[in-house]
Amino acid sequence: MSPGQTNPDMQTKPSLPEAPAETAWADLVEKIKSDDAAGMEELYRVFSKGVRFYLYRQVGPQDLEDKIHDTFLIVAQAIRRGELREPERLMGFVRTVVRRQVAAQIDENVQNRRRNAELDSGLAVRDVRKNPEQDAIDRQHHQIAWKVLNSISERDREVLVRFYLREQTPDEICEEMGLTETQFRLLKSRAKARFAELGRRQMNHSKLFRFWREITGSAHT
Amino acid sequence: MKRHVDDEQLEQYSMGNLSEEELTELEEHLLLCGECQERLTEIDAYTQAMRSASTALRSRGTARAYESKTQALFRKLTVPKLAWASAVAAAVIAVTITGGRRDSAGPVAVFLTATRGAELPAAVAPPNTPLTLTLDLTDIPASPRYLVDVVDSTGRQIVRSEAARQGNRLLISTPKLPVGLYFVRLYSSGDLLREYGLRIDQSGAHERSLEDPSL
Repeated sequence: MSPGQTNPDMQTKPSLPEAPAETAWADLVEKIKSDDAAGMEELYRVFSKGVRFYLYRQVGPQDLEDKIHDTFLIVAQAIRRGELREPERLMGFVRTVVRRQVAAQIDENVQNRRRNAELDSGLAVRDVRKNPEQDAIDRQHHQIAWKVLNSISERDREVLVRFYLREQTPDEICEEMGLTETQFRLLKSRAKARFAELGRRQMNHSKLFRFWREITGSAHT
Repeated sequence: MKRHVDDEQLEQYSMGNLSEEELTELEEHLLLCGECQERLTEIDAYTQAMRSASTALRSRGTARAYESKTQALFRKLTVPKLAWASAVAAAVIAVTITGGRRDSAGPVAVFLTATRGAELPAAVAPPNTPLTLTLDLTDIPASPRYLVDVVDSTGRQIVRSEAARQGNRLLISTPKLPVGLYFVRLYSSGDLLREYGLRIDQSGAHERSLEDPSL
């Protein structure tokens, strides 16, 4: 995600619309139990995006497709063996399997590093940089957050630093800095809105710059 | 959870501040809801940016405080008539400039999140400086005490310490570390719970990435 893609309305929404209706878990579980191909298709359709999202967020892109596939395999096999007694708990079951996958991956990474270190310390050393695009995005985000923090009063900045860096609770911050809960929420949401606004501006600048380069580039050819 | 998760709660999740009960409900919702996944990605980026910029601000503040202290010391030492006093002051300044800068300003705070996949450490810290490492304990089972090992890239143990949880964080101090890759391993009752990465870098990447927004 680039800063320009940041949601412009990141404030807390008091009333959010309903999420998509829940799937009929019992039907789905029954289909998988009876080896109905449509059951596996539906399982993939319903969960693949969420499983991918969770795994990517926790353990990164390494072997992602394999891990997703393994997750569905484990879930389907467990259902067929009758290990899921309450079909309405399917969502929780999938989550448990995904969390175990994450824990196993972390453990495997540690073991690999140990093995590699025993063989040759050089093997454990890879390129420490993220991919250039992600690196640039992170740097942009950092710059924007820096601008936001520098554009507000010292007191407001102190509130945000206490929350985001020192991870004090809102109650602690409000008590120690003499703020009401509303003032605290407002301050935070204003900073987010400012972050989103600066992100959009930067995005527009980048678009203009690319457009200008295309024009000048094509003029030379 | 049928309703979408509000931004406040997603932010708490992103920062690892939810209880196990809240986590269950939210993560089950996230498995199914693309809209909340997208909002969480945005909020993750925002909280990380605010955290890194806050660290940079604090780092800059510490450096400034130290610079003013050094200047005050220099003024004090240049007032006496004895010539050697100036020489001592100059020597102090020279030591400061050549690398001892943060020693007197206290340890550098470094926030560590779990190492992901094949990625190497995202957290970068300067060499030869005492560090205070903050370990993110999100999703780690509660335990009265944790054992923390800091090992180098060959797996050699550098530091071992025990610490108690503080909310979703654990703080440990390390002595000065030379340039290199390090892994911080968190144990409880003999089980390895998580591994964090740390890169000690002399190139100044730490300073640049934290303090200079124009880059």
